[in-house]
Amino acid sequence: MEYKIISKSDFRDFVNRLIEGDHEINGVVKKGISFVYDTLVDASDLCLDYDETLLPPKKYFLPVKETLLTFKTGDPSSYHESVEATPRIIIGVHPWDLAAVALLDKAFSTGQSDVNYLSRRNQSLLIGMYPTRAFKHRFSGSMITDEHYQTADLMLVDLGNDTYAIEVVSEKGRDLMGKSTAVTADEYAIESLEKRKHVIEDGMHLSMPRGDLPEFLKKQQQSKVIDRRADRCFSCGACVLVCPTCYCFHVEEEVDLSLRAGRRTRTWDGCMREGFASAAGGHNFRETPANRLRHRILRKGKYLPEHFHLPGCVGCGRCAQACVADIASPLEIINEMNRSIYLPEVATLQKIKNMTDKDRFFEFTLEGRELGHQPGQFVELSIPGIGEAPFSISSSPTKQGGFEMLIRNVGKVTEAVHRLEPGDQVGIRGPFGSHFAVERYLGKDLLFIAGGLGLAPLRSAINYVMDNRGSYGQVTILSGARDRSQRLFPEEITRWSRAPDTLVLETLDHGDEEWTGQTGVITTLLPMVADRITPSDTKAFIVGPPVMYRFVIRELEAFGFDHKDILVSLERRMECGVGKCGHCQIDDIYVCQEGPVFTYDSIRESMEAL
Amino acid sequence: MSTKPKVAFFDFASCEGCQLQIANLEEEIIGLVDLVDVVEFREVMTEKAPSYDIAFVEGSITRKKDEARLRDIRERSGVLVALGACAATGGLNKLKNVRGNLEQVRRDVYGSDWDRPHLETYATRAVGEIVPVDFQVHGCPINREEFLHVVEAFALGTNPEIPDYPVCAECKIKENVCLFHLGQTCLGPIVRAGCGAICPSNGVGCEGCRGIIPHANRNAMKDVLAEHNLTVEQITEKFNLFPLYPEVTP
Amino acid sequence: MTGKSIRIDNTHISRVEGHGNIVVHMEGDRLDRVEWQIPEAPRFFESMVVGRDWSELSRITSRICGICSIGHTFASQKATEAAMGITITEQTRRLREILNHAENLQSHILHVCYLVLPDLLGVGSVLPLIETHREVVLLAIRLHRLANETCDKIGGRTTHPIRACVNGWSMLPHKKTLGEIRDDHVKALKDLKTLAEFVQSLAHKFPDFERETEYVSLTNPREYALYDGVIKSSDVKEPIQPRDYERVTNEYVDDRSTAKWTRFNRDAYAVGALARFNNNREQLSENAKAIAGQLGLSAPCHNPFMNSVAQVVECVFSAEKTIEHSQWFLDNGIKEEDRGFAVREGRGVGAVDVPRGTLFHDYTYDGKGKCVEANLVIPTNQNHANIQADMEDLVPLIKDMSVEKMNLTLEMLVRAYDPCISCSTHCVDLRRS
Repeated sequence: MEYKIISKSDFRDFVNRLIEGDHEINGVVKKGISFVYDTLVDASDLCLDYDETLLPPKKYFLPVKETLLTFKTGDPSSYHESVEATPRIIIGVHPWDLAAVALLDKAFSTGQSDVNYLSRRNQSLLIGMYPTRAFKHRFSGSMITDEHYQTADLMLVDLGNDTYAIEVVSEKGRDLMGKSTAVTADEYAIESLEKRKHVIEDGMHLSMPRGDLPEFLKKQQQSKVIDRRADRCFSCGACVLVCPTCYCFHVEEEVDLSLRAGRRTRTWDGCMREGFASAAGGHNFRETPANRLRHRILRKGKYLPEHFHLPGCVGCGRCAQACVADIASPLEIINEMNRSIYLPEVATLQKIKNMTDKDRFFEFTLEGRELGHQPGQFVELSIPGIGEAPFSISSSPTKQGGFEMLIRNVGKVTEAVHRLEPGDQVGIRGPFGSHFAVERYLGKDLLFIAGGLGLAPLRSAINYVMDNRGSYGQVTILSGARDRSQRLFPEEITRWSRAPDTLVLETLDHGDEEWTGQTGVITTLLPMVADRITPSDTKAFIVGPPVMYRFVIRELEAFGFDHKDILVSLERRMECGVGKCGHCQIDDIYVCQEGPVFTYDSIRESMEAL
Repeated sequence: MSTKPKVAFFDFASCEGCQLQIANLEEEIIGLVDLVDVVEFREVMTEKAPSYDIAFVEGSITRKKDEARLRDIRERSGVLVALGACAATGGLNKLKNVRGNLEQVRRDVYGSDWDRPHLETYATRAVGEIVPVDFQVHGCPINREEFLHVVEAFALGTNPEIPDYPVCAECKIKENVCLFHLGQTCLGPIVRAGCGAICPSNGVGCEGCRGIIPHANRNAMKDVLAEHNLTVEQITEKFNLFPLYPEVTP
Repeated sequence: MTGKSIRIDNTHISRVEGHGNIVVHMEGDRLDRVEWQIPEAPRFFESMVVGRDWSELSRITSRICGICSIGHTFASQKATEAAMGITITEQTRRLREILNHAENLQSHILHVCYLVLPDLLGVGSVLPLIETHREVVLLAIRLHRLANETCDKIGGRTTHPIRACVNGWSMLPHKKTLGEIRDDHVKALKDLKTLAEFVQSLAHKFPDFERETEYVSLTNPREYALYDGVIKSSDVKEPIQPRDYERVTNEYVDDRSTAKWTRFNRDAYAVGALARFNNNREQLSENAKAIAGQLGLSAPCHNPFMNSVAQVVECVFSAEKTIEHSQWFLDNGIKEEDRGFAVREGRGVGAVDVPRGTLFHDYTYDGKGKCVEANLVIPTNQNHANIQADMEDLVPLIKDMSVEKMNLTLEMLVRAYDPCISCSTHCVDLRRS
């Protein structure tokens, strides 16, 4: 490798001489609080001390919009290629952008050559620049290595004392520098150069070696991380437009006002846009934002590297900056997917409400996101120094601004939870487990049977149904408590009973003078609704103390319920929540994975379940 | 007989700024009248015609009696195009609906004369809420290039294509510094592109004049605005300056 | 005289902005009905702005009119600035003046060349003139395009200007852009001279009709007033402050019109280019005065048809002022300025002379900067009663013409005022009791 040095003012003079030549000279210039590549009118415009440009230099080789063909309307023989290229020198390209150019070079020359891209590329000289400033979204150190940016003809290093050192990479680069006053670098300069090349460090790092990404991502296709982020996605496509390794485009024809002539053009497009994978006839092969985000991450982390043996994402961080919803960073997504399954997230207690002498109702929020749970799922709550315990979620996913749980004070962790005050923080993992799949039972009648504390997880499903009342048929809610002081959610019970086509019946094991309702165990309510229920149209959900299930299920069988239409939630001792520690096993399954919600059908033969 | 499509322009409750964009085509007007036959355009010419291949209608419907005139235009037109935000979505004219109490609105303007018969009004409607519309040209005012594209497409017998994606895409292509990074807010993520992100490009956040895109993520937009310190009241006001609450069918 | 029965029920007046009707019923010499009616659908802007934030007011009110959106924007911003005690900088004012002049030029060219010229050349629209008078049409387009491009460069967009904000601009032009504007307007003066000569050759086709009229406009000791001034009436010696505009406008509802009418010292008064010329002619440049003379326009002129001629003179004036303001920026530079100010309650009136006449915006704000009351008087509101009075005097003079020619002459009368009818139906609010 040949090394030279030049003073910054001599370099500016050199650039001014280039500007007067026949190449178009492009470089990084200031734009407001940011930077862009633009044509230089004077070397004083050049701003090599920059963090990141808004668009990458790919715009010079693959313009935002370019003409591929011209034609005369009605005459297919008139299609004519349109290839134009301006000789140019681009100054200030960071190593990761050069690595991205290497990928694009391969993409457009492998197989069938794209003459439009290549003619522009072959008439360009690239003067690279090692970074002088950090950029908060950048993680290129995790994504590229030195060998990836040999696409430059020259590389500049700011030595800090009004001097640039220059690595001469190619013949064209050597010829170009020959026209300047640059001289051979001495040992001291070379030593300084090596230090300063990598003096800027990333603020964030990938939590695994880059080479492991393809295998890792292959196993993450169902990851909820994607779904949670995609909930906020606007499908604006900003992430793919600013990305240096994205090169998808949309081809279309346009005609002049004369209607006699026109052109076929290509314009930047991207897989994150809603209509990108839509075909004529109306089918969209990637219809949801989650499908699209999944594809993008897999493409960057797996498909591109496997195909081209080059990094598919170079870690520039432009997508993270461009994303208004703040969901785009591949680093954040991968690190979140790779997050230790045992590491809790911080949640803040917002509200407390006393329900009975030992039950208390809590509302928590996570930082910057909703829990994203389904009715019937549970979380593991941690208090550092005390322990961790599983609790079912009592609020519907349709509730915005946090999630709720009803917690009974029965042990070490729950006692500590009962001492919390609004503003206190806990750790949360999850959500875990299977759920009451009410979203699949649209149009059906629903029967909820809650014994005691079982009303807490059932409330999650009931409120989901109430928020989508029009999508379901008749709703029947049966709730049993030990006595009046143990009744849970009394105001909501009243509210549910006022919903259209909804019947709520309660019973107490022990009544008192003021109680005018039914007394007795919960099964005594079932004959009262026999006329109302059509088992073949109904899904039944049962949650209550272990002893309750056998009796209630026997009654439902007598009604004529099919076993697959009865759903139960079985509590067991759940600790890790991720199917490893072994405590929650029923026969051969882990309740934290395949439960706690089961159809009676699937556990009927089980020795241990009921 | 000319085989050029016969084109006409009409206006209802509007500022006529969209029709003005036709005049603002400047030299391209000459190309336009080579492409089509303008047979009725009250603003600019005296002539009238009995029927049209393409009728452009600017403005909202704000009175029962305007419905009859609109239906008549629909009958006499092959294709009917809503020209501009007032026609396509109701535009700013729907702010009157937001106020709620229509009698109070009329009193505000005409005082004790509010209920004289010639001063009648009802809740503002977009053209497409009264008659079937074949195409919408969005914007307040319309984008002249998009208008020409629509005319060319119809003249060629094809369907015009306009973006279904948000304004953000156009800001990125133009290398604008995102207004959210400058302490401002913008509705770009949920509003239809096709204007070249003209307001953000001039330092003002998108106000939504081109209407909401299909599949807009309104919840995320509200969350993002709240994260940038807008109150619920401020967010609601942003959503009803131009009507962004109903889904717009293209 | 003959017992001729004349019925004109013209509900399709073309080449005016908005919908108006001309109704004339005569039996012999008896004038049964002469009416100028406004059936235009009102949009209720005064109610739409109530409860909205100060930062939105000019964005909403600019949509009152597509042609004078710049004028409405400035009247609106001046009203807000007056209410909150804000004084704009010289840089902001001069940029506003350039934009205001550009709108004046754009609107007058549109009116004279596209809307009025066809009458003088006996055709229904400007379209056939593309073949018969191609050079004139191209010249008009050139001037129109220049005005619009100037609006784009300063305001970001000619219709509903984006960059114009209360107390400043969201984005400033580069100094070299002002250089382009100056050079282009220097060239435009030649085109305007050619246009004036062309109009001069046709000026004899304007009907020779006069009716003594009260003329109202802004006036400003510094220069011929457009953007800034106090209110002047040709009937009254003392000027009136804009905040006292209601003494001048005195609006009322007439059954013939969804737009309100006004009156001051007579049954009607007129605003617009002719009113401004009559009130402030002495302040025009020698060049502009010479062109007025060549066009046969002297002050005072009470022939409403000469409003179009006054507009041609004002095009020259606006081009000259644009050159002057652009030069100031080339000499003094442009700098970033802070637009911030303290929001407070208050009431303010903004008055601007837009192409069609004097425009008033009157806003009252609460302490949070929300508008609680609004009042708007549109130039064309102020012309409706005058049009009615003109028609009543004109009809007897033309009753011996054929019905077609009568109709055309009455249409030409309406067109001469360059009315903006849909704007005028955003009539001002009466004080809510």
